[in-house]
Amino acid sequence: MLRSLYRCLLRLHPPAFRTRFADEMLSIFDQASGKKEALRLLLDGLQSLARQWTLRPEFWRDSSAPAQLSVPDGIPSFLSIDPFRPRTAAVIHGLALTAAVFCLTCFAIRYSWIHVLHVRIPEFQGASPRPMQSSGMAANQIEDQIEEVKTRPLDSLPQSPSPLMTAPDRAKATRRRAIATRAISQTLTGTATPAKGDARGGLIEKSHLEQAVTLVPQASHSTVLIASRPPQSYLGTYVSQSPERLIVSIRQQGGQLVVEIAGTPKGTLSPISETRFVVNGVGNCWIEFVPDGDGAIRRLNLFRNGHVVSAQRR
Amino acid sequence: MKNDGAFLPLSPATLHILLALAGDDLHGYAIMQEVGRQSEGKYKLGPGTLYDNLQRLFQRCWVEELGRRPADDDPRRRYYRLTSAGRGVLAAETARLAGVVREARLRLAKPRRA
Repeated sequence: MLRSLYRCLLRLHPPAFRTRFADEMLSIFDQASGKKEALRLLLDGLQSLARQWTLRPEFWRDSSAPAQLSVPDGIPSFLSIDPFRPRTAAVIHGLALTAAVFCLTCFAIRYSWIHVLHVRIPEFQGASPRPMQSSGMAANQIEDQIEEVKTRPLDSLPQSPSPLMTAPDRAKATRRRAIATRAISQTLTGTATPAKGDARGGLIEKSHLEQAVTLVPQASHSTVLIASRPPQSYLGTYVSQSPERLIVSIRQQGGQLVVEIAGTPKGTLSPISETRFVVNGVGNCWIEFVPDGDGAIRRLNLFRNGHVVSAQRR
Repeated sequence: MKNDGAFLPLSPATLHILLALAGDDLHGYAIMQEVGRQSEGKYKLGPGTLYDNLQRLFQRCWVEELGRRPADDDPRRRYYRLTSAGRGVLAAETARLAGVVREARLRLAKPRRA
């Protein structure tokens, strides 16, 4: 093994030195008796390697190599490529310098207080230049996002970053959680505002979830609702079949749908889609109306605090 | 040689190598052995130092490589010979050292004034 190591050391020497002396140095190593002597030669080889690459630049190039291409007699030859080759030392120095600059740049990006390179790239949505025109698509997005939030309630989001996460992943997870929390609270409290990107022809900076919630303004809810299904179709009292006999009554007041759930304060319904509504005024509560085969609504599902209660229209 | 003095004083390794080759044509390992014998084991020359110095001695034409070698010898070995220029440099260095030794003996022989 020591011989292999010594041989590797010899191979790392400059070409001129290696060509001329490596074989003889290896023969000297083969004559060494004992491990101690071999180790001494190994150390000597290391010193030689450092010495040759740092103090002997004049011997780096192999002088035995042909300097020029030989030209056959009578045959003109043309060289289209410059035969210049950078010195090995120059290549090594360049590599070391490049590695140093790269490391310094990475370090500066990671630990600098001035994040000059933190560029946010806005998301381009060419298919939906105006939010109201894309209300159908927005509704689909909202449904998807609601489905995601419903299936992954807030509690399922990581409360604290995993220790296995890297720093950028941890920051991303925290940011996603904050956005999800804000979107849900905005939706539940009905304080959602139109997205800033609306006036910029589809350039929307907010995340999909936030965008899905904010793209449908409060004022347009009733328009969408009335156009698709008359509000009277939702009205009525719904009673659950569960032992606690939960009663949900839905009425219309001042052009708005009002819901009363037994044991909770009154709330208004904000449509997310034709059949799904957020209950404003009651935290973390959703209602989904389930139409029958003929389109009439006779049942609803109440999603509250992660529980689902099904109720039949009385 | 006129310019022998320009390279003086020689480094200990160079001096020992030239001195080892002054007696006979030797290969690398034999030079190392000879240097150890001359210095009574006080100066150990490693292969790295030996060939680094030989490289420069070739460049200054103080040492040359021999083409022929014994038939039964290790083919990896190369034999080296001291050139006349190298012999001249060694003579100049020896003379310089002789002067140093003479001066040192003179000074050491005189009792020091208190």
